[in-house]
This record gives sequence, C-alpha cells and structure tokens, in this order.
Amino acid sequence: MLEGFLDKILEVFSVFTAVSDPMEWLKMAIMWAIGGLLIYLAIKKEMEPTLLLPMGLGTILVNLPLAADVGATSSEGAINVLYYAGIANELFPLLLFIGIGAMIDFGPLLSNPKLMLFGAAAQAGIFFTLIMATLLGFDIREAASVAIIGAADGPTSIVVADKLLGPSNPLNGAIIVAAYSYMALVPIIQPPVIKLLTTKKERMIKMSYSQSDVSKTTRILFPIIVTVIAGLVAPSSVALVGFLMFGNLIRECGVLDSLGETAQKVLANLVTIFLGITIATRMQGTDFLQLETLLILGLGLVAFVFDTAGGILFAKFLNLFLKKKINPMIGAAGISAFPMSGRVVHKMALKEDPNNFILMQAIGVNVSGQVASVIAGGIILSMFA
Amino acid sequence: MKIYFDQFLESFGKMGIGMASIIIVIGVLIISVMLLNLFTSKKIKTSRKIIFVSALLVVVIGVSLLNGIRIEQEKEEERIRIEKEVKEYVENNEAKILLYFDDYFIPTGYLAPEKPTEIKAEGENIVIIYTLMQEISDAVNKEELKASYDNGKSDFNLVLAELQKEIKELKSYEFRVCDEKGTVLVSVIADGK
Repeated sequence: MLEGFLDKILEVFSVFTAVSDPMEWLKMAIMWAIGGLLIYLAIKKEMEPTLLLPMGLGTILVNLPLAADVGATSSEGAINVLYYAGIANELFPLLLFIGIGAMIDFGPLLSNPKLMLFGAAAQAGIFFTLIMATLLGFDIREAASVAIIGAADGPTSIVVADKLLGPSNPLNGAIIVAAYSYMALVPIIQPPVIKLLTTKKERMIKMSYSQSDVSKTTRILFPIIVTVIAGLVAPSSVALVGFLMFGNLIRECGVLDSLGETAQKVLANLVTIFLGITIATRMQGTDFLQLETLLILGLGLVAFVFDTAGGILFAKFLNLFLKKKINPMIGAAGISAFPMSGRVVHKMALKEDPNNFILMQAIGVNVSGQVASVIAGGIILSMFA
Repeated sequence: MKIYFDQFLESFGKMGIGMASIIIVIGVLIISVMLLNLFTSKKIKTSRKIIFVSALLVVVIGVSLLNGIRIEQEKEEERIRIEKEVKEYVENNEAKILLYFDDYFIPTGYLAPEKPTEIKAEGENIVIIYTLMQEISDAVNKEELKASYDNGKSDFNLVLAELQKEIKELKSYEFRVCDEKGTVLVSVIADGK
C-alpha cells in the first residue's frame, strides 16, 4: 500500500522522471542562468528593461521541463500561439514601429537633411558583418540575418530574420537577443571605438547649430514622401518604413493627439510586453546552446563596432574636403539606437570640452540612422529573400 | 574552423551593391527633403510651385511609361528566347511524353506525333502541346487519359534546372495533350525539383 502511495506521489511530480537525461537538465540550468542574467541586467543595470526583463523570465519559462501549457513543447501553448500570431507574421514589430514613429521628432533632421548621409554610412557594419559571417560558414541568408543585427533595431532584425530564415529557425532567438542586448550596451561599446578612431583635437571640434524653422507642412509631407520613395526604390522596406512613418504622421498631423499619445505609450508598451515574452520561444536550450549562438553574439558585436567606425570614418573623409570641419563623433550617432547613441556622443563631446554642445547634430544623425537602418533592412530583404 | 572563401567572395560583391543601394536611397531622400523644404518655403511664389509640381508629375509619368514599354519589350524578347531554346532542346533530344491508356504507357509517336504541335511560353511556364492524332482522338476515352513525361533520353528536370540558372522566371514545363479542336485533354507539369 505504501508503495502504491509513493507511486501516486511520484506521478504528481512526474517531471523528475520524465526528463531523465542529465544533459537536458544541464541545458535547462544554463538557460535559467541566462534568463536570470537578462533579468539582472534589466533591473540592476537598467539595460533595456522593457525587453530584457520579459525575455529573461520567458527564457526561464520555456526551459522548464514539460512546460507544454506555456508553449515550450506544445504548439497550442500560450507563448507559441502569441509567437505565431505576432512574430512569425511580423505583426508585433510593425505595430511597435507605429509607436516608435510617434516618438521620433524629425525636426533636427529636416532642418539639415545632409545629416542623413551619416545615417547611411553607419550601416556599413551590416555589410561588413555579412562578409565575416559568410567567412565563418553561415550560408548567405543566415549571414544576412546575422548581419542585420548591425541595424541596431529590434523590429527590423525580427522582420528580416523571419523572412530570410523562416519563423521557426533556431538562429532567430540568438539574433534577436543579440540585437536587443547590444542596443542596450551602446554606452559601453561605442566610446572605446570612438576614442580609437578620433584624436582629442577632432573630438573637440565645435559645430554651430542654427535652428531653422521646419514648417508644419514639411513635417506632415515628410513621412508621406519617405514612404512613397522607399516603396518605389526599395519595395521590400515598405512595410517597415510605412508603419514607422504612419506613427510619425499621427504625431505630426496635429489633429490626432490622443492617437499619438496612445501610439507612443499604450501601443508601444503593450506590444513590447508581448514581444519580450514571446521572443523567448526561440530561447529553448536545444536551439540556443549551439556554437552558432556564440558566433552570432560575436558577430553582433562586430556589427555594432563597424557601424560606429563606418559613421566616424565617413565624417573624417568629409572633413578632408570641408573648410568648416565636422566633429567626427557625430558619425557614430548614425547607429539606430535612438536616443542612446546621440546622448553618448553628446556626453563624450562635453567631457572633452564642457562648452561643446553637439546634441542637436548628434540627435539629427541618430534619427537619420533610424530611417537608414529600416531602409538597409529592406535592401537586405530585396537582395536575399 | 573551416573558412569558406567562395561564399566570402560572393558576399563581398553583395556588400558593394548593398552599400551603394543605401547611399542611393538616402541620396534620393536628401534631395527630396531639400526640395520639400524649398517647396514649403514662403520665399517661392505659389505659381512657381504649381509649375514645379506639374513638371515633376510629367517627368515621373513619362519615365514610368517609357520604363513600362521597355519592360514589355524585354519580356517579349525573353519569351521568344525561351521558346526557341526549348524548341531546340526538344527537337535535338527526342523528348517524348507518355500517354497512359488502357494500363499502358505509350510514347508519343503512336497516339500523337513525336514532335509537339506547339511550344510556347505562358507566364512562368513553358507549355509543350501535343495533339492526338485524329484517328485516335475519337477512340480514346478522354476522361481516362493520363500522361507522364519520359525521362528516356532526356531528363526535363535537369534541363529545367539548367535553364533556370539563366532564366530565373522559368518555373516549370507543362505538357498538354489536346484533341484536334485544341481542347486540353490532360496535362502534366514537370517543375524541375
């Protein structure tokens, strides 16, 4: 009778008998540690908490044994249902872009459109990483998906990886984690690269800023024109660009204040919650704990470094021909991590010279990086999809 | 760790194309924003703005029309080229199809002439049409007619794969057997996989 009773108890705690392979337990434990690390970085270090916290908990959730109800092992589980409802079909990233577009003020960019060149130059890391990834054995589509980490834009990375590799590819999790994690690490990654590529004298270059009025008509027409041009010239980017510019148009039109506020706050936060926890479906130990994951994390870092370098070197190249020199640090702000990258550059300029204010130029370039990264994503799709 | 130089070289080329494409798009955007700033400026008279927009529309429509004509011409030339290539191949390689009738596969030459009546390009497909001989056409139970293609001396899958390297739009061959009135009795598709 006692044995029967014990058998019944063991049935309740069946997880300890169902997973008998010690390696499986080890993988799960490692993923719990990774999930814990993401949560720690989010709370203690305040690194992109909106995404790293749900991703961290989601990682732990999907790596619990027999977690069918959450969707780790069952296609009918909640997380898997959300994944196919919003990430596999790229819906969540596009909705998030509406919120991001509603948050962006293109004023500094519109008053000095030449700053967009720096945004373009700062996408060099994507293509350099593409080369490195192919050299390391990734096939061309995998390499392109890894390289898009250099866009420094989570939604773009998700959309491109989904389209090139398919929603169920095991590499997607590492790509997305790398994209969001490195965005949060911009204040750590960029300063050493900037210092390496610039002299103190260059970092102290002052740039004057004259506020020229950007008319409301310009602000309203800009998102429409960008959408049309992107649609004609790079059709694969039209979804990304279109949703971003839709959000911006809601902001700038002046008659949809409540919608603009909703897009910036409620919509963005809601989608971020779903996005964060749903991305975790790609964080199962069997898929994540591979050599390719380490390579992807390494290549992601390469992408960010060369993005920064690309922007700086372009600015230095321009300085060869300009009488009135540009502070080359603003090239580094062309990375799409908005507004962090702009603030990093601004702080570094102030550190060299407390009277050197290049915030507006840096933010203008940072904003252009947002547009350029989305267009880069579209071009990658048109070349490799 | 193995280094993959072939892929590296391919990706090097793509890198150049990608960067150039981004710069072109951004360049177009810069020009557009500068024009937009100029256009919304109060320094320019409304009449000139109207003239400018009209001229822009004329240019855009004109370029689109010319481009459309050019694309149609290219498509037609491509269609003719594909047809010619396939015809040559079919004639030189004794390609046959088999008609399955009364439990037997019978090659063309018996129920239908060996050479196809027509080869034409339709969208992404090459259509090869055989016509049943008049005498057979009435005797054959058309509902029961089936067809297959013969890999005998030719393998259409290999041919298709080779052609697809050059003609990316080409997706498959479709073999059709028609009666003398042109009614399609049966068709079979070889998709080169």
